[in-house]
Amino acid sequence: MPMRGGVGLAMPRQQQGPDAGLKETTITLATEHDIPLARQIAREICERLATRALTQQRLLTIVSELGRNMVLYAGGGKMTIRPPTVKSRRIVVIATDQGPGIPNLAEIMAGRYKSRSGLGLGLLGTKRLADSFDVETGRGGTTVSVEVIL
Amino acid sequence: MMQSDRPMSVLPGERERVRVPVIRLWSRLVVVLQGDISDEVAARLMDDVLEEIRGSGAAGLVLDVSGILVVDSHLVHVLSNLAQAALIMGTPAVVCGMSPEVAMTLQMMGAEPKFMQTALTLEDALRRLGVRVMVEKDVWDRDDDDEDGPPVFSTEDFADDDGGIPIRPHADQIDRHAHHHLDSRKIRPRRGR
Repeated sequence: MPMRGGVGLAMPRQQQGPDAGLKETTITLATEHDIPLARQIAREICERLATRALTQQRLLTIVSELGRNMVLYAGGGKMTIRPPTVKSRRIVVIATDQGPGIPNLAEIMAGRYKSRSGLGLGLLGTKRLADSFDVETGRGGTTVSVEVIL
Repeated sequence: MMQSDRPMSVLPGERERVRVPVIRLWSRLVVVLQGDISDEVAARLMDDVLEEIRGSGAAGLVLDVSGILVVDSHLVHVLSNLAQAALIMGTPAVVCGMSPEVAMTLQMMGAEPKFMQTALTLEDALRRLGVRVMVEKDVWDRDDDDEDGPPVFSTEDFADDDGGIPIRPHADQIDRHAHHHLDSRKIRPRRGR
């Protein structure tokens, strides 16, 4: 992975089998300019795995929504994209920030929230697109974990 | 990882160069969105296109999204706002080229575009905006040794005038001319999609 401003550490991970060579990647997202890079990394993983077009679109949309959330509401954060392993045929996305947390999480997940800049669907849309979804939030920050099964 | 096809918007110093082409076509505007649309480009899109509508007095706006990498909820919101703003100004807008996977993803996440006219293809979008096109087969089949004689017109809406604004000054004359000289059997029947 080429290193530039927004790119954090890329942690190599030992893998065997058909997916060898795909590494878990962590990106630091500080501004909206870093969101395309996150999408690009997710896209490369999908292309290497030759996933279905719908799977790729779902994953890239998830990455895009989570990235934007962190940039807009938490002052940035880190996103880890973990490629599938031989044992686990799923792509994992973990978005972590040290922002103020999401006080109105229940309202958002119930679909009663509408943001000024968009549809208010960042988190709820992500949940609907994902095969598994988990969010932990508090004053110390927020972590959203998502899985997309191949 | 491949370095060659990284999105332009993340190349340092090249951000400013990313510009969405706005094509003037028969007094309609066609905006072609391709690749990874950054939030910055999306934000500028609204200003640029609305300004272009005012400057050109366009009778319609087409937003072709067929080449977009990801259409997330934010981009849908931008496109929908743009289409609405254009209509408020008096220029109807049609979004075309939503791929099956984009459509399914938007539907899954409950981000179906509202207040937005959509068309399957660019041609459909232009037709929706009143453009009528006449295609002469001969232009492409020069060595076609068909015994047919006169050129065959393959337009679907040949005889269909539901108030579309003429494509160019002589469109009417061309149509009449064609009718006059052509055996009606040479005109293909209208086909449904």
